[in-house]
Amino acid sequence: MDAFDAILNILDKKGAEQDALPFASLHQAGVQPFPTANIATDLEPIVKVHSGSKAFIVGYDGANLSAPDYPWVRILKEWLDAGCDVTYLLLNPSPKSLEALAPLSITKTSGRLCVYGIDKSKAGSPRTLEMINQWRAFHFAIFEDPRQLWVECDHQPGDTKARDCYFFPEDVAKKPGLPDILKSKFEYVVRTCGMNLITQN
Amino acid sequence: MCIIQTPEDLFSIIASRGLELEFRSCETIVGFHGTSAEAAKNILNERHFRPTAHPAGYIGSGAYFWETSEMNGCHAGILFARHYHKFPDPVVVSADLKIERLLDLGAPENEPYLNEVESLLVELMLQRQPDRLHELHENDAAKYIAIHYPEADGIQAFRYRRFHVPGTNNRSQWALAIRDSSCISDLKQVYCNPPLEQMETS
Repeated sequence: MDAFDAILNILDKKGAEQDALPFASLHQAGVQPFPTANIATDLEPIVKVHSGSKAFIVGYDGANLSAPDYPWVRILKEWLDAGCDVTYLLLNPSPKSLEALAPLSITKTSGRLCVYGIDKSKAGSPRTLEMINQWRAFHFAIFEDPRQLWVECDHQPGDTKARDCYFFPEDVAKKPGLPDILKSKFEYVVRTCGMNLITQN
Repeated sequence: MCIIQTPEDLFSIIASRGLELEFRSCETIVGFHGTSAEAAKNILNERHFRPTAHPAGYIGSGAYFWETSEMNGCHAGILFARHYHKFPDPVVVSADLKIERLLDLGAPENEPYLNEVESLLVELMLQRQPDRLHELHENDAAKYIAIHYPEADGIQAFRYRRFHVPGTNNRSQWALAIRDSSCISDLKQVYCNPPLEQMETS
């Protein structure tokens, strides 16, 4: 059997074991674990973002955006000002989180902000629904130029704090692996059932 | 050009990078298997399991057990039999498992190997069918090893970690796929008197 056919064989025979598991690569050398973390205060100081960077972020209700005195919106604006394009997928955005993003949509920045929600009725396959359901509490942010990855294995709705978090710095994230898989899942979900909520002018 | 043609090529590449899987034997452990009442009756009458023949299981073919404390292992058996196999009234069978040659894919010493397989699977997908990359799942590297690792090594069982048992806060369940039925002895039906709701809070 061809090695690639062997992979397809596995993919085509997905059984009933599709609950959330850790990817093997979360536990590789160089990945920085955070038992608990806040994306704004723990990721922001270590991630490299500059002009030409791109960020793809998955969240659920946007609790980080609407929490009082929480600097996430300010950090997003700093990234946009620096020339980083931000694509934000919110699976179930609260009205408050969209309100918090609204000023960014009319602010002129070097980078471009696109915010997507989900139209579940367009989720054409059980696999897509499975991904969406898994992302209720499993969140990530992928960065390109330079490539980096932030993973939150357990981020409950309504909370700014996440548990079981991992940061893949540039030298770890450059290897083929989890960043490619999650980016591919992100693009697939946005392409098949993404619903544009905000596009910056 | 892709230099990985067969699964053996993939394992050879990893070996050439100086990575090897480490095997171990383990003390007798108690495993829990959730199934239908009818299947449990057959297992207990025949005193053996009929391993799943198809390779689509979580870590390949074999008789599947949960390995944790009695309460959690039993709980996991009930939940998976009920949620995934849709057995309305599951029964849990426990067994003593004595494994001389165990491949523990959740062991820290095997993580570099697992990472390398995951990375090579991604490389293959990117080269051959990038539009299906999103279908790769968290446990596919472990599953690939479990299904395609050369059999000549005489592996008796695979072990891997599950992240989360639905409806519980338990994140340290271990799944065992027993390939060699001679590892299994002392089968017992486990009676789970506490309702699931009570067990979930334990």
